[in-house]
Amino acid sequence: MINDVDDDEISTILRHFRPKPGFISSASASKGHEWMKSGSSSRSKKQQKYNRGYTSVQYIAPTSNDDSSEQGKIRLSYLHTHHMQNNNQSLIPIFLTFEISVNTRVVTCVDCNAPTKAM
Amino acid sequence: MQCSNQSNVESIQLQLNKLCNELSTSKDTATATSTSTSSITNNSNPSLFLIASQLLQLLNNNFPIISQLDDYASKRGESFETLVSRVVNKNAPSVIDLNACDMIDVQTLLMRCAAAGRNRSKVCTPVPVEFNTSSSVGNDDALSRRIFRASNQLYMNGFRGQQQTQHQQMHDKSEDAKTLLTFLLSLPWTGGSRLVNSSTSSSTATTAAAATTATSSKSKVAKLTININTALGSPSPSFTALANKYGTIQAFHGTKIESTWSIINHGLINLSYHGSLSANGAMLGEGVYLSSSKQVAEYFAQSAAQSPVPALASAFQHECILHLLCLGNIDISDLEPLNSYDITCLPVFEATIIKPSSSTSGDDDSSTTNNKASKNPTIQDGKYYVCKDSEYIRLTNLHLTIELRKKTSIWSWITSSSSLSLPLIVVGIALLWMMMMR
Repeated sequence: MINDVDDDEISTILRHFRPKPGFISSASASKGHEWMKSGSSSRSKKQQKYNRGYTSVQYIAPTSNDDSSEQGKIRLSYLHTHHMQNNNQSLIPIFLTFEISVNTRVVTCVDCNAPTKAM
Repeated sequence: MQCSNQSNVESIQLQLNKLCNELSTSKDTATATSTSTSSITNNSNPSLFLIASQLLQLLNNNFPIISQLDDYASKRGESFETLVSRVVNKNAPSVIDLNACDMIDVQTLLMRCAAAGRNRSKVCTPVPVEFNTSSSVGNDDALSRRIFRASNQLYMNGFRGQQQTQHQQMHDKSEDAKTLLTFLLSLPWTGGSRLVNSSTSSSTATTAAAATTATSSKSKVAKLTININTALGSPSPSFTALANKYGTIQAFHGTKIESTWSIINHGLINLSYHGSLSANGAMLGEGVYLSSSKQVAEYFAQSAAQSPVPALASAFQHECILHLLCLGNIDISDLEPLNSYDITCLPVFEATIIKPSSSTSGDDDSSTTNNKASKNPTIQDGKYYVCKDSEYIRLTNLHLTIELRKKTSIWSWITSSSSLSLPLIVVGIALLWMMMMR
């Protein structure tokens, strides 16, 4: 137990969102490694399938320099491959890395390689 | 919400701000979605699980900057080659550190081997989403061909920037190669995330290789060690808690090269429930089997390599092998074509596991302990450890032994061992001549 956060909460995140090989996952994985979103707010509806664009989920423990109230972060890495229309440059890969603070639940974008001046 | 690159992800930022505000103020939402996550605490904060789910849902469904990217690319886009050179050049090569190119060599080899193995449409994961078309799902050959073709194109196009111009004409035909390279660079254990932003490089710049070599006239052996420990993030709090209680030990797991791609990306997984995939049975009960001895693990890796699938030979016929041999300080100047060698690649994973307590040696204490968090997940029997929960196995190193052994043919045997065989041949011819004369 870390302070008031149940360790199982982090373990659940890691276990659930970590990509799984096809032979372990349920039918969703065998049908093209799609991600079955089971924890979203649309659970009352039929479960939706999404392309699994992200690549990993990690737990980042707090370092000794951090504030004592810090409880670490959940790091989500995501790869989005954007296919261009009517353009020779038909693919733009975008890596995104987000961190969710366990303590404050603040989502932070810590890494983005989208082409500069894209906006 | 904070962001190091405000101009690029402003739309994402705005949507995430809105999302976080909604999540922070709505307890009801968290309650409604907690049915599948009963273990999650439901306090005033929204659950981490809910935030992660919503974040991925947002990214998957409404990637915010797609339209802006179209506008940008229509004016002047960053070419794929520019991106690759930018990514690759950020990694300063050193004597022992694998740079991005070396990591792509490792990845390419492992993915090609996975694509050559049995049940490859299932076991060869992860692969780019684009490769899982309707025709390739459940079709071993389609996926295998696509990976082989993409990896061949990748090296023919010269992603290292050397052969780029002479293969420029293939630019339009290498969509799969681009997709594959992008995917490989994005995998966090390869240092993909550090390649694109120096702000996270310190936490992921951990992939290193140490190489030892052994050569002889007939064989060349390169031994590579890939450190993947901290690139996979910190141990989970539950792992740390058990580690503090019982301590940790190093253990080894030998496997076949076809499975290495999946293991290095997903970790060691308990396959005792999957009869066809459980190669060596489960004499000590269900779980992941490891050994305290690296030699024992190497024996299992050698045993697994005894009867390779035929397609594995094709997987090894690739430029990446040459680069890895060079990384292992092998002189390839006198190397003959790769198809004149029998190539084997023996993977041994090194992992940190929870040290088995004395009461659990050869015996499972699960019946005496109710709290899962305090249960020792590891049992021991001699040199063997069985870890029932994959979560409590942290991969630290991958030891790869690549061996090229010259194929033996009758003619090569005659020429190579002429001191012994020539007299025998002369005697044989003489006897044959005498018999004919009679």
